[in-house]
Amino acid sequence: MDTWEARDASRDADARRERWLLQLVDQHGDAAYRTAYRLLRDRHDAHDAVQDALTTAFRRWDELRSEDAARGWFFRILVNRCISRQRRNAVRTRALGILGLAPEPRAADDTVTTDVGEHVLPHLMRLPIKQRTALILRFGDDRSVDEIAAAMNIGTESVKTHLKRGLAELRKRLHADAGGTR
Amino acid sequence: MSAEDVTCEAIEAAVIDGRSITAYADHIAGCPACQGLITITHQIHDTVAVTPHTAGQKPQWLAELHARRARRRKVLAWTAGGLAAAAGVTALLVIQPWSSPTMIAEVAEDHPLPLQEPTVPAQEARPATAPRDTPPSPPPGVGRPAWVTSDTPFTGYCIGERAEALRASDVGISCVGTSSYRFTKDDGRSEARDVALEAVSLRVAERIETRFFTEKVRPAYEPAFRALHDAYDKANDDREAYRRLADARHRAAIALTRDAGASLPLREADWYWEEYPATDGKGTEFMVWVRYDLGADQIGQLIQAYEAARVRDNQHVVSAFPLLAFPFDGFRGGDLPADGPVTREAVLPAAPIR
Repeated sequence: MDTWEARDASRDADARRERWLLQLVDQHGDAAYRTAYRLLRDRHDAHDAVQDALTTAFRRWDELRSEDAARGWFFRILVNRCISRQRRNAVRTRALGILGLAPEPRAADDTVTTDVGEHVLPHLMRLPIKQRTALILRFGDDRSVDEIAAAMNIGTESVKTHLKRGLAELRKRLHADAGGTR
Repeated sequence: MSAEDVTCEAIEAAVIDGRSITAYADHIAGCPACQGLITITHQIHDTVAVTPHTAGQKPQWLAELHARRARRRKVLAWTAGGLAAAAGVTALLVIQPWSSPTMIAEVAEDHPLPLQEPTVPAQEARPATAPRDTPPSPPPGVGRPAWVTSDTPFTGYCIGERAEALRASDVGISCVGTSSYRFTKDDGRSEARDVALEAVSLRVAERIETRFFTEKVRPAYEPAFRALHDAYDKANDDREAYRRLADARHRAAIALTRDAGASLPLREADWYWEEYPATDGKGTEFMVWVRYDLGADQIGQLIQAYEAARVRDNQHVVSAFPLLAFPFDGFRGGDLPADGPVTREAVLPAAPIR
């Protein structure tokens, strides 16, 4: 292939890639942002996570085998970004805590929470990251166990284990909170 | 399947897998542990649920990507200055020969613009000859005001308590509506006003916590609200989806302005427009932004207005929430029995409770 043909081919590929990215944003952008927000509980973090995921998807577009798989593939990238960001935030919060500079917890001002929901949230956010992620994706985002397994890059049995342990821990903490003994 | 045959583990597995649990109803009815499990999963859902379709939640870049197809080259822009500078605006309009007489009258008389009845989109209504509202020539250098943070057509957003830069000394909110591309500024302004008032209603709805509202009112309007917005979002140039959403928004705006009384500012705090070449190459179109500012006390009064039941004609009633305009065609506000289901008959009584 001579230089001109190579350049044309490269330009075509870029155009296809850009079209595909716009289509991805059009079809799944809102859902991706909602998922990221649910996982991260912060508008700016969610925004950044979706942008990171889109950038990665754009860069690694060649790895996508079929466009039918785009949704699941992108979702997987997004969830990974959110988990990384949660870990980074946890480390940062711990470090700031050691320095006595722990930030005040921020209220999520654009979510619907019931009284009971507000009660659950602090406990939910203190669960281990994988349990929390699995619970939010399963019950908050209505994803199936298979989808969560693909997104978290673990087996379905592992997802079920995270869900069971997360639910058990949540119940334990809520009962303790309410002064229950069961 | 008898209740004895069922184990809590089986129910937990069904909940995790997303399978139906109706077959286990007998067991669940007598098992606090299983009830607790199901309650917790619902609580997780409620806890992380994001409010439906408030464009303000959408990141700016995402909104821009969505709007990319619609965006056209801006040819003119002008801000109206707002009520706060009403006197100044009047003076400005007087010295500018291109000013719309309607605008001068509005500012001079200082009363709210009447909301128009739902109309066909201006593209259809516009005469083939020159537009009634000759585009003015704004002074050079007019840029977008700071409160215009999105140009996705026909969406609204609120700038909330965090917007210290805009409202340093208040904890109220500013809600902004953006029109679609309209052939006259007046059409655009009316439409943007409806969108902004919808954003106000959404913000108020988030803060109403009465049982009647959460169990009866919200479930009554939310599915239709989502459906109309989703249909519009998914459609590409579908006039019918646009018209249905525009009509519902207008009905909701009428209801809110009628029932909210002094809780709602009489007029918008500011508005701004931009002029674009029309897609068909004939003439120009306008995109208009309208901003309402509500102080904390006004928000409180609005919440109170839709929360508090009162007795009228020996019946407990509450003000019908404006977003009920989405499921109910003829809705124009008024009162709603506070102790019954939110049905069409209740919302649109033969003899309205007023």
